[in-house]
Amino acid sequence: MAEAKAQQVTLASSDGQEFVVDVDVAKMSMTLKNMLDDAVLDDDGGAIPLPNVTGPILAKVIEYCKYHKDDQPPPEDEENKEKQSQDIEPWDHEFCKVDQGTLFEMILAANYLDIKPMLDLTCKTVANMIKGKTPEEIRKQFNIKNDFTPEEEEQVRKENEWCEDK
Amino acid sequence: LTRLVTRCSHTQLLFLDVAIRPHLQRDIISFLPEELAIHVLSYLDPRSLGRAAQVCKAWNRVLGDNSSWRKVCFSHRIYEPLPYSNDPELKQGRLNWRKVAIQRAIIDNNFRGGRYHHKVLETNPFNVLTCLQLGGGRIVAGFDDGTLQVWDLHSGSLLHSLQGHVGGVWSCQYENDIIVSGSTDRSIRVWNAVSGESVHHLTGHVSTVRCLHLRGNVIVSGSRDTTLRVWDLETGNCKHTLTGHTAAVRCVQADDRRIVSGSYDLTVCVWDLKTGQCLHTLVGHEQQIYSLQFDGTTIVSGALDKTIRVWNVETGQQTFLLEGHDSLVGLLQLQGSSLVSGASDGTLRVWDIKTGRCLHVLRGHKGAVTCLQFDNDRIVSGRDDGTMKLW
Repeated sequence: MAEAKAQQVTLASSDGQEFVVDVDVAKMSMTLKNMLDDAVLDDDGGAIPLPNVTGPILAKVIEYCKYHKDDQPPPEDEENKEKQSQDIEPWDHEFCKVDQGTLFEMILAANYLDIKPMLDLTCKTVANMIKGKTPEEIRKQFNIKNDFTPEEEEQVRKENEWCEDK
Repeated sequence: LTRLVTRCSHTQLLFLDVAIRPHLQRDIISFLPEELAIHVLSYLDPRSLGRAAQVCKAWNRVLGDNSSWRKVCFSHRIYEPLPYSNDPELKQGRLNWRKVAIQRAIIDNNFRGGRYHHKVLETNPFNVLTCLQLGGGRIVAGFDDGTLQVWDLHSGSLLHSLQGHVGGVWSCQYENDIIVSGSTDRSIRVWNAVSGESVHHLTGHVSTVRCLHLRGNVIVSGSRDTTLRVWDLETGNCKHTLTGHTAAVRCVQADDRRIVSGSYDLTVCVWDLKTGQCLHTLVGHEQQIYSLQFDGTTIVSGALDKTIRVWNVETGQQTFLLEGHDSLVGLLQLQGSSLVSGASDGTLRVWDIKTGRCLHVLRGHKGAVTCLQFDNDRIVSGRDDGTMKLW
């Protein structure tokens, strides 16, 4: 019984929600892995506070880690590969079907918790929202106001004329 | 809230939907810390980035930063500007990475769209073009009448006609404004590409200089007289004569320590650059060797026996025998673990030299492939009927 319990850890979100997860799930996060590895002996069973992550976002993070905990680490030459935003698995794609505010918080959480594949996934998802769109379509996508003066807009347009050259 | 929503009429719900949506949207790029914003943007192609820069001031600021573009370039495996530009901001030093990316994007677009400018460079129509190189805003070509010509890449105007060789030029290399040429007149000439002046006239070989490699301050030449010679670029002195081959030397490449030569005597030799000693003689090919590539650790050789052999330069052992071509393998280019070979059978093959596997066979040319070059994205090949193919 004691052994089984040692395999779990409690995470507390900024709004006081507690989540009990398996240690190997939690260790998908390099931040948590370092904490857990350092604190093996003086573990008092208390929850690990994550003041930067809210409950709903932490729930998403845990959902991701549970699904991906048995993934093989990416090959070493990953860094040399060209970055592609199209190679998203169906599950991951569904996982990222959230509103932009949530997606934004997920990026911050993945970064803070240092879960590289999740950070890459969420960043790719945002990149795909931008890809191939005109500036006006991008503004609409993210509810952004065009704050250029007409003169500035003309200048920026000129600087980037090349990308409309079909 | 749930009760409120369930009591709403359809019209009211639609109104709520429109009213709520903007509140769920978030300008992710502007609100993210800059390094994360750049992480997102590094997944985008240059064209999308050019458009993203026009969205608003905050996006423009993130994309106005040279280091953002540098990351974008690196994530697309672009590590340097294309070699043939004359824009000072695209020369080494403080590179304008945005321009580097834009340049690539435009070129890529042109390649894919099949758009090009056709420019005919004036040459003597009776001469055979034997060698050609492009770089530093110039095109350098050697001809069988013994001349070399230098054109401005952008205007197409002839800058210099280099006269001096009394026999056909069959090899040349152009590097850092220096041109080195080898000729049937048994000599090598060193030229200044900017002024067009002849800098050195290197004599010693007793037959045609068929191949050469300029590296740093060293020129290595291979000749039909079966020897190789090592020359000092500055002084023009011959430092070593490498003897051992028993037939014409057809191809040569060197790194900072070693010289690798391929010969019609069916062998590849590895030489010590400093001492001129033969370190290994690689035996295996059954007919004349026409091409080789050497990247410092691996040697790849192509021969008339239709095979390509991969060798370890340290041990001199053959690591792979690549079979598949139906005739002479006269063209090779090696980059990392990718090898592209071109043969007289009109096909190109792409190989992984780590596993020895043939990854692709490219068919389409109706005759011998006479030139090829590839980068990360594509392979360009040509043949003697003037056609080119992009893969």
